[in-house]
Amino acid sequence: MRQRNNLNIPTGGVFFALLTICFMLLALSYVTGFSGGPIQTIANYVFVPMEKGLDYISNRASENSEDTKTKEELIAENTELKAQVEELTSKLTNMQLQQQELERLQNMYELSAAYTEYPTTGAHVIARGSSNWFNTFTIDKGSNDGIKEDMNVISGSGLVGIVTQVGPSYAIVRSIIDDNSNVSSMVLDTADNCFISGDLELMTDRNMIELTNLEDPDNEVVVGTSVVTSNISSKFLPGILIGYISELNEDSNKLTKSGTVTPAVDFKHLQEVLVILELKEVGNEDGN
Amino acid sequence: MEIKPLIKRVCVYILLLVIYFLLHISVFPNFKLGGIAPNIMIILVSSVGFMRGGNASLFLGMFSGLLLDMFSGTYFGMYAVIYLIVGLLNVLFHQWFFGDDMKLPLFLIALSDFIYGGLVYSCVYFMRARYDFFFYLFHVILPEVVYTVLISLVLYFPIYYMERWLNKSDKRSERRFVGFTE
Repeated sequence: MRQRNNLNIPTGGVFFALLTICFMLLALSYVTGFSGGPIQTIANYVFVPMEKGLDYISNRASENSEDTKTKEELIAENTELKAQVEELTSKLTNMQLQQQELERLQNMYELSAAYTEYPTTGAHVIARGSSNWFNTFTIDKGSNDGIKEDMNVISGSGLVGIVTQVGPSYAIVRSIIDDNSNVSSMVLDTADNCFISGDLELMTDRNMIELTNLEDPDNEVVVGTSVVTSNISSKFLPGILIGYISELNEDSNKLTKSGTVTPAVDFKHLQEVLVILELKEVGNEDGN
Repeated sequence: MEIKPLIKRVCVYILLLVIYFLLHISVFPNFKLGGIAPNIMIILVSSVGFMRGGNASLFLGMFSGLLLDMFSGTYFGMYAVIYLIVGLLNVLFHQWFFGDDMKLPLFLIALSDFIYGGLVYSCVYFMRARYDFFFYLFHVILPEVVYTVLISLVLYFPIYYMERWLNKSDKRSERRFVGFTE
């Protein structure tokens, strides 16, 4: 039989050598935040263009197979949507009137708008995570487009996640439904602070994320209230919608409450996202 | 082994790695069943492991892991360790692989994916006090095993035929080499 070991090193030895290299890389990335270095640049030019095309095609294919509807269904949906459009248009006019009034009054009192619009850039999702355990995805813009680590990523309806790693023309985003994610946030109505953390168990079971440490001594927070990012968070800009409270219970310590939140973003069909090109400025670097 | 077949083999493995990685990260996550995507990289690492054996499979395992690490943004090196262990496990079964039977490959791919799931759970989730192992077993690990085995019914064959072609051309060049020296 032909000799199998090309270099005459027993497999066990090679295994332990490679294992040592891997552990060294792990230690290096833990200490310095190393994430590939030069290989990252190569990977950038090899994989990113192909990922772009492939994800686009397969996404279209999966949507087509998912969304085949009969003509009747489409007609029904169309009438329903038309009714909705009318309703929303009337609402919108109403809102515009109120907005004008608000602006007029604000000018009178010389108040600046509470939430300035953040500068954003659009990006396509080109790869969706490396396993079923993590909720990270890759977008097709990187440091060449001005993306930096810790920038917030939003979608039309709310907060999607945060940039954790940047390559020349791609960036990796950890979404807020990832098991590792933890966002300092507040309830919109009462400005009570709480934490929103992703939980794989809750997500697979009920499509929800976890809310903890809500201090609500007067029992003012009700189910259905919006939860937004708080102004004391060190990485997330204030006032971005996260989701709506769907369940709220008192903790056993009788001081705080916890519950679940339905995220505002549809994470299953995410294709385009907006990256906010502004980093949260905090006074001291080691804030929470 | 001479240098030319070795280069050919390395090129073939790199090609397979690129294709399977793209399938893993950009194509199949769009075809999730019940929120679960199949693990394409496991099919590659495991198949090469029991077909080829030896150091090549270990290197392939490690590089697959490193690629995933680069595009996952978690702990750089974690997947490398896990896929390296999976590669070694399959190398151990190399001596029982004869190529004419699908039972052992399917069993090994399933076992590899199961062990991969178990390792990720114990490295990441157990460490962060997520103790409900059976939930993750029935909602993530086992569905992924089933889906992966189903997909491997198709994606096993490109690797199999590539490996057979490589072995044939290895033998051919060996014969030529012997003839040349005589």
